[in-house]
Amino acid sequence: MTLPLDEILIGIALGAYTLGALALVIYFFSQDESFRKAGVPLAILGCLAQFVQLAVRFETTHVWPLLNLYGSLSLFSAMSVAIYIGFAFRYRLWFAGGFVLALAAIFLAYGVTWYEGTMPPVPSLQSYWAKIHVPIVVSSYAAFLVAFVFSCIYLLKYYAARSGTGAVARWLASFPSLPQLDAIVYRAVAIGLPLISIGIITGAMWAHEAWGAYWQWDPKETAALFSWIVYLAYMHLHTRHAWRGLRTNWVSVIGFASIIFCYLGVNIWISGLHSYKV
Amino acid sequence: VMYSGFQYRHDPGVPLVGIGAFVLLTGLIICFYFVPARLYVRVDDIGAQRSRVGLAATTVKGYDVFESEFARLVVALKADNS
Repeated sequence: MTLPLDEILIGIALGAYTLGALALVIYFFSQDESFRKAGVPLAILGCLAQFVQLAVRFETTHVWPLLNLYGSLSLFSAMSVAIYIGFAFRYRLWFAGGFVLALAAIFLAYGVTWYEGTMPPVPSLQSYWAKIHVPIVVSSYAAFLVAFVFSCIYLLKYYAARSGTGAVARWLASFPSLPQLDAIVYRAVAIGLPLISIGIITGAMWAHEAWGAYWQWDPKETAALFSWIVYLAYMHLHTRHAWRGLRTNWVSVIGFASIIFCYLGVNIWISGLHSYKV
Repeated sequence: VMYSGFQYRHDPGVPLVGIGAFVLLTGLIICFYFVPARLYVRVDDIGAQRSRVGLAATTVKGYDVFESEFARLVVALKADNS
């Protein structure tokens, strides 16, 4: 029995992410350059495999692959790794890659458990908006995932630097400084916030076409609005010196929790217009 | 039970909301990707046809982001000079 190409590619991506995460987490702790050299190509390989997989899937099934959790989570993990790779090349941030890849592997593996074959989406979702709204929203989630990872590293460094001594302090000193980490989080949110704003606006336009009203306080709409407000608060608080740093990074962590609720919690636990059950 | 639903909507505010959405997005993009900064250049004459050029900048926001941009600018100017 031969596996279809897209399932082989998912396997390659999952394997590459898992091994890459392992290598880069070891690099994070040991700072041994050989682990970085092993991890980086794996990250790029997994990311490429995922985008090829989505293209192959669309080509073979002729169904836009993003309208169920299987395809959507696949794009989410691919975009997270892609945005992270862009950041890492630009600002030399490979030390954090293990955590991004680990999250990408977890979300991809979780997405695979939602595999339901090639069912076409419900009629109201069959629209060109699926090709605009979904990639934009999922990319904004991915940018927030990158912000979340760097916020966690910021918080780790902040709290460990206060109590850490000797070896721990030396290890932490090799990472970018707290203001540099904070600036990276800011840049990631600065990508995510315009994207989620466009996502909510295009979502309203799609809702108008599909359901007859721009905004109906559907759980997904409410949760997205909440996340949008959290990240807007992040941006406003970031201009205040007393809040910049420790507190804004906690806001970023809360924001990502709200994104995960909006993305997965709403689909799984709450039935509304966005639960894509046929 | 046989039934059908009809819906008639009149939304005179839609163009206004559209303009609002456009302004919001433009504002967000300007706010994140264009950092307002003021550059100060000071040229001191140090004799013998030479002068020392000092460069400074202030910005009201995003100076973490601006810092590296400013550093790049200084490097570019130095390269241009030699």
